[in-house]
Amino acid sequence: MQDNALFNFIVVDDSPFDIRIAEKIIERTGRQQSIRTFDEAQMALEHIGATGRQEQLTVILLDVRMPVMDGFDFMQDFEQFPDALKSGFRVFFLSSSMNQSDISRATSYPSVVSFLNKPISPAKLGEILDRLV
Amino acid sequence: MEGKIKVLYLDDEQNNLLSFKAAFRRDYTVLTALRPDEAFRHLEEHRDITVVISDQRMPEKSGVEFFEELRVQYPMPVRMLCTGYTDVEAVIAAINRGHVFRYIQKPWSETDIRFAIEEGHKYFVATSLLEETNRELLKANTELDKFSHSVTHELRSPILSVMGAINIAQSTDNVAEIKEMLSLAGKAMQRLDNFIYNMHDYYTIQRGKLNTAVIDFDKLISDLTDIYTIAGKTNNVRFEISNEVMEEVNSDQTVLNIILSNLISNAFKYQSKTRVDRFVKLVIRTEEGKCIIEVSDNGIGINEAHLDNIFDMFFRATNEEFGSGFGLYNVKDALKKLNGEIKVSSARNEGSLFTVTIPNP
Repeated sequence: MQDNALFNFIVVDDSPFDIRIAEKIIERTGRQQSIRTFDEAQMALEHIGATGRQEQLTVILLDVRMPVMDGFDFMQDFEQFPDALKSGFRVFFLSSSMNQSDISRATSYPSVVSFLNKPISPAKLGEILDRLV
Repeated sequence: MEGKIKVLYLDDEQNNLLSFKAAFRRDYTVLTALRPDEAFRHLEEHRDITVVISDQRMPEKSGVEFFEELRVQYPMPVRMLCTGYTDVEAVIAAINRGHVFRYIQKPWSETDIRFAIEEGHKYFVATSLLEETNRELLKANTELDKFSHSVTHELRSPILSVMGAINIAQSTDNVAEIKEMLSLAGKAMQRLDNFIYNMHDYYTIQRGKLNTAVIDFDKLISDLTDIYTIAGKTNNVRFEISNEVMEEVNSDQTVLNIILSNLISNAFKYQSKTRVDRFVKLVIRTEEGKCIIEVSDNGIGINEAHLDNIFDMFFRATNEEFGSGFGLYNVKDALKKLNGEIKVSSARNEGSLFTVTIPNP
């Protein structure tokens, strides 16, 4: 995959501020094929279930703490998808949590690539995308 | 009622049991057992046994062995060993292995036993209290942990939003984009301020002493009208207030304010986005010995599955608006302080009704 490959993005965050910021940052990388944002994790799951695997990789930026369904609940359900679907996705937690137990729990899900701290810069996100092959 | 001290006595000689029972049954509830398994059955059935006395020399098991087992299964009752022989080894074993509270020499005198039982019971009460306190402390500690974890998150996330917004604003010359980021930062700070406000309420309720006085409802209502009528106009929500207070109400103004402002601001906040005729209604009335406050709206309502949790700290039932997860917790806490109660009935997309009852003796 070349360095300027495009990705589909899904942002799951309960804060509309952080969703807006994430959108801006993604746009700054210029690597977006599409951006979908969800302030409720359940809606994101339904979207993934309905649209399935895309031609390009889909990067999910997932918040930890959200009301009703949090990031961990989301991962619990996401891991139930068939491997064929999951292989089209790369999940990153993007959170303000400094809690070590949150971080270890987050990275214990097989589909999670890593745990990123807010705020993330466009340059940092770009580097991460470059490593996704 | 305090009740009599419950004593269990284990001895393989029926006569000893009978004379023990005869001597102490008036002052204590006496249970007796000829064999260890019988003693365990009593312990299983009577969880309030505080003193266990056992003979040392028994055919199945020695008193020390019995106590060793007892200590594992029922650690709380105080253990006393009774033996007729000056059996030093047994006494040492009883202390080291059976952790006995006292050693009683046979033939026992009534005064000795009585004294030993009273002392043992006192010891039992003191240790139980200590255990209870420890348990409560442990619980408080766990809650504090959870609390500080959540507070850190709530304080930090708006700050990180602002930092993200600043990053973007700094790297653009587009004024519209900068303005958007500024407005975003402003809102995030508002959220932080709101959270800190709620924290302040929390400590006011937790630490504050009650300041009971006659509540000036006219003043209270005119204050609320000032605050919410404007908010209502911008959002097109009708604010109806009905003051049906017929007698003086004695309560704490600050605590009452916390309750009212949380319920009313929630009612304004969780309005339906599609409904045209939107309202928030406040009714305050008195009934004999009670002051009743009703706050109702025709907003988005609360999912039935969440109704039991809405008063929990940091619980949020919806994502439709910003909430600190603190508001209703504070309301419930405040009501605990006033010996009041709150009930809620709600239907999704139809609205909610919160009914607060405060005793007014």
